[in-house]
Amino acid sequence: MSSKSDLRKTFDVVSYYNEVLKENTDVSAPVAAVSSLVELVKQQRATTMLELMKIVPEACAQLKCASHNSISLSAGCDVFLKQMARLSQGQSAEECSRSLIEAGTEFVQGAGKCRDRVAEFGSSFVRDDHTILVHSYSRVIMGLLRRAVKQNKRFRVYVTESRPDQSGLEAAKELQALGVPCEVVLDAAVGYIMEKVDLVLAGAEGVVENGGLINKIGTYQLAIVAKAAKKPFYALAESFKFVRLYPLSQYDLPTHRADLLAFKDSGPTNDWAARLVATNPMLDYTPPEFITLLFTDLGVMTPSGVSDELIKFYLD
Amino acid sequence: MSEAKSESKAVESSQPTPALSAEAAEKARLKEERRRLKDIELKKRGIDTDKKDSKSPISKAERRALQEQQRASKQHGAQAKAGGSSQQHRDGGSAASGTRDAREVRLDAGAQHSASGTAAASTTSAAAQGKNTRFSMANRVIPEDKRMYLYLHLDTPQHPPSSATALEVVQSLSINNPAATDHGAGDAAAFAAGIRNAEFPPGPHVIAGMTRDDYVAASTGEPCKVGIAGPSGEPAEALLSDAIPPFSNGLGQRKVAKLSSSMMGIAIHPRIKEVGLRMATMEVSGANARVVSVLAAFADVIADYTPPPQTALYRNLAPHLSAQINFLVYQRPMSTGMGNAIRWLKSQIQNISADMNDDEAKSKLVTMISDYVKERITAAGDVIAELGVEKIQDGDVILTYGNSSTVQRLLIAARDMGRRFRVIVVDSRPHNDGRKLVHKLVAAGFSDLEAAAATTSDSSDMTSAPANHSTRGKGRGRNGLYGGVTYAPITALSFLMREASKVFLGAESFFANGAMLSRAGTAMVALSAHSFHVPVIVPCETYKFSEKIQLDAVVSNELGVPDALMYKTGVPDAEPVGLQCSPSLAEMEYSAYARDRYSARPRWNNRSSLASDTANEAASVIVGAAGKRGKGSKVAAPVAMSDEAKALARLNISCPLSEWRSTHNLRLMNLTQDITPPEFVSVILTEVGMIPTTSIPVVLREYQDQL
Repeated sequence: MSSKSDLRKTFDVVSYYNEVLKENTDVSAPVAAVSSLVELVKQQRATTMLELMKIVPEACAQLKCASHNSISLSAGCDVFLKQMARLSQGQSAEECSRSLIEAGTEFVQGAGKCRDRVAEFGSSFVRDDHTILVHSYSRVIMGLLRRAVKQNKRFRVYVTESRPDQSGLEAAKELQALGVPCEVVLDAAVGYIMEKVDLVLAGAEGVVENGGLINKIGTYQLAIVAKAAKKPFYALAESFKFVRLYPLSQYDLPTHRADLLAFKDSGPTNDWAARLVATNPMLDYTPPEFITLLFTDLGVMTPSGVSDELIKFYLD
Repeated sequence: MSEAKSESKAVESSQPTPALSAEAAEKARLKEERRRLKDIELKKRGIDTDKKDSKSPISKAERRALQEQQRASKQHGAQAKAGGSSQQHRDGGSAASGTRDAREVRLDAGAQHSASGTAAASTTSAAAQGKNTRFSMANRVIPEDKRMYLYLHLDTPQHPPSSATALEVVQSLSINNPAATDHGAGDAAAFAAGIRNAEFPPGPHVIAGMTRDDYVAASTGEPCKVGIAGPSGEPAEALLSDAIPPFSNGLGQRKVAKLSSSMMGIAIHPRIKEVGLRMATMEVSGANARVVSVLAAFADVIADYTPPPQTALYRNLAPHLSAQINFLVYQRPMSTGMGNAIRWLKSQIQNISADMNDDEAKSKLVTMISDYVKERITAAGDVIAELGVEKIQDGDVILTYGNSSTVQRLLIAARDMGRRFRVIVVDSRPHNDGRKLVHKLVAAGFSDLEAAAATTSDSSDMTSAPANHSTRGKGRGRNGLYGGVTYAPITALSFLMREASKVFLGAESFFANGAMLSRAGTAMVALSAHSFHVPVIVPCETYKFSEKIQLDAVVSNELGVPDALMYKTGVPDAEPVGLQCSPSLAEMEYSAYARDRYSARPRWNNRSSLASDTANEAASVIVGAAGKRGKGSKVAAPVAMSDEAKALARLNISCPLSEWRSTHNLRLMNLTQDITPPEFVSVILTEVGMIPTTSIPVVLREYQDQL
């Protein structure tokens, strides 16, 4: 990295954000967003409040544009902007940026603990001889299961393969290393396996205003099957993933971009394959009525509690 | 249509037939007898009427003629062609006017214009004789059964309610100022504009028998008179029978005793009376419109209020307002929004510091009221409209029920933002409010299809328009086009719900458990939407949130006028018996056949009465005939045409509902509200954001200090 004055002109939030994510795989998107915004505030030389109030939202917009999945990222941006709005009252630009940096750093440092707290609250729901169905790979879920193992609980896990990136395989690998009996099932076999399962766990990209979930594709159908089979469906999310969004349907999400995906392993293209139109979304939305409980660092709450927390945070 | 009607009436009335005068004489004789009885009764109570009655009363025939002249002059405007015969009576009237107490009765050309019918005539004649004869005169013109309501409803300050005072009240019936007539017509629009601009609707400060000056005088201790008249000068009699129904058939007896005791000694401000009557006649019926007009009236009350000497404003204002509120509640039960606003106002009055100057305190309160309207209603509406526009996508089919000002505003805002979508307006009897919405939407260009026609090209590309992914939202509709308006009765709901991609509903209130209180029928629409898996979006300002919980709609509800449920064959729904339709609707095209039911242009095509088939048939004949006769002219409702009216009259099967009062065990129940369970509402759009129904208590908690 070059000198400060250069950086001021050339500081690229997006590349910094990507760097943070690459450096530390354990950091989730909102936290990375906040730490890159903190870095931005450190680098900038705004002399007036007005300037600062312009630079930061612009950076947020850049981040949202550049990211594949802007939902969880935007949660981080919103938290930062709200904090700035609070701190900006009756302060100079310098004071404000100083306290912003302080608050932001604190947030980033505290974020790691959030996951532990989720695990702490959630692990009591896992008991001996349980069979758990897990969707995709999620760091929060892994944290919870790890803690359950530490508490000497014996349980089995089914992991969905979770196409198209097959992230379920990664989860299975990690669980095997922990010594948890684990099997990978096809995404299409969720209904088949549900009868054997005691509880279903899912992570979250974002938790929306009504307590619904935005997560890796397949979560919605998992939740529907779980509800039909009357199995509890628990969602795990840190509170910084709460977003002020209110989707009414699957197609009401800001990330709904069907062009994102193609079949990666569709083999050699031939005529008919080229003519195929593939709709292959990354995320889906699970309405709150399918969610039994949410495990968050603020405690275990019902979906309606999310709106409560959001209103408290954003409207005081 | 109305022009033709009134003309024929005017012609009739200007030449009284011999039969008519004979009848009048007979009636007069009966009334004279009744008057004598009444006088005896009054004498028993120690009221000396004989002396007062000594001035010679004008003859019955004279009165009759005067009355007709009134009617004619009303219909023809100020330049009534009343003819030479009636000229002398008018002269007589104006000569007599010199004798009356000026503060009590104001009768000029304008007043003649605005007042009408019997009540107006009574005033004139009573005035002609001076106030001394008021008892007897009133006695003559107000029929026995109507008089009861006067006793119930009106009592003058400083006097206990009694027959004497009630009769006194009659004397000042229907005194109006010229402005009152102008005010009537554009009034709904004025209130709507009031919501939008946070300006209080301009209203005359004299609507009933008491002027603003009278009120000011009264509030300082002088006795005053209370009068009653229609919002736009209809005869008081009509008002008394329609707006204040007796509900004698079991349901809902009004609490008379409470009203009269609490109002004793406190004058009701004319603005409050105006607003009260407007609400009673459903002229002002929207949740927002009601609150805006009530707060505007309160601002006037506060501005005009002078506490009794040597007393503090903040102590006396609250009870004074309570009396005004009682009057309003008596006219129509309070809505939740009104309750919240009034509670807020009372707490603000309590917060006035004792050492504040009266005038300062008053102006402060008035400013606070207008701020409340701006913040909680107008600005909130802006935010809600913005949120709502976000939720409307190209190609959507929006279904709505009735006419909600917030929904209307939101839809028009979305269109102004360039969204292309279709609207289905579902409507129901007896009010058929949805027609107003259709009218507004068509005026806003919703039915123009050309603008949207360019969008057909992307039909093959599934990915370009997000709404296309939806299983519903076939916004391109039947013609392959976006846009358009569909109007349908609620009976077509389950059919139309398949087409809808979103449902927008208006709410009167939300309870703490998330249940929604709204116009009757809303729960049905929400249930249908829920079962078809269509999201239900409800825009609602937070001031309408209630801390109460109501488990079903029967626990507490508002009873509408039972007569509204009656129908007349051959009369379109817009004019249920006893209620008025908006004049704009009369200009809508009439179509006898149901073929245009789904067309963008609204037509009167569904007359959902029992005899609708036959009526429709007859109407089609009429429409055809009318079309031949008057080329290019608007085809009006068939009732206006005499030949055709006769044809319809033949079809007019007697309706059992119209005799419900005299039929044993036949009751009409006109519930006006219902409760929608929280799970049927997907999202509430409020000024604090989009929230689920489960967050109502959160908002109530967080905003406790402001509510």
